[in-house]
Amino acid sequence: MTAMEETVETVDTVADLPREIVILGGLEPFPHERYRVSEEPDAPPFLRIQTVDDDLVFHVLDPFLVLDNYEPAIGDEDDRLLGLTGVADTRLLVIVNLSKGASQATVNLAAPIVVNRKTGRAKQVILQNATQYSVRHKLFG
Amino acid sequence: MLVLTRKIGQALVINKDIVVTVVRIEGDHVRIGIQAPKSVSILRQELLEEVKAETQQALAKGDQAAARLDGLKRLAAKFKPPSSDSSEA
Repeated sequence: MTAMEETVETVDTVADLPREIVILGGLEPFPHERYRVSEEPDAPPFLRIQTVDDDLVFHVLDPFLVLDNYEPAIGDEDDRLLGLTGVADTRLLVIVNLSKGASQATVNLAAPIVVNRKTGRAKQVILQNATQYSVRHKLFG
Repeated sequence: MLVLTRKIGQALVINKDIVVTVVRIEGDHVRIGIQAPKSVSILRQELLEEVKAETQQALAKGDQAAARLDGLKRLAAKFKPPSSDSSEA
């Protein structure tokens, strides 16, 4: 079926992400640092991250699927902390908020999770240009 | 908490390399200038709180994650490019 091929462009996979990431400092207010990364079966391009020691689950997305001209400004200090040397090392994930139902789904574009895909070191970073983006960016209209 | 009084144009120095200056006062608005090394993160407190609150809301615990799956599937379908719809015709 061609439908599969046509979705490849926008469907992200975990293929280039580590199976486990360590989010330094956790996702405030949750202190957990170790998360397993997996695809959400039947619902690509959504990914799920789940705490290794617990059953806290967040759904996340590649922000560039939401906003193709997304221009996150990440500080040098965070780059250093995560050992990022360039775009090839870097993957971004934004947290999806489904608490008000799917039709009201939003993503947090102001504070993406920045991942070093080679080492699995990650951190939720409040962007230096956070004021340009919403903490609750509506997913669809 | 340390509370100090400053006049317009006066500054505070924190750790020898962070300088906080009162630039202007208009009614209940205070305009503040901050000089700090690039490595110092400076954020409005509300933003920090907003991000935390958002993460807390986004969390799915145990069964909630499964309960959200139907909604996620509906949303997932919207990511497919329009051209895939025509292939069904």
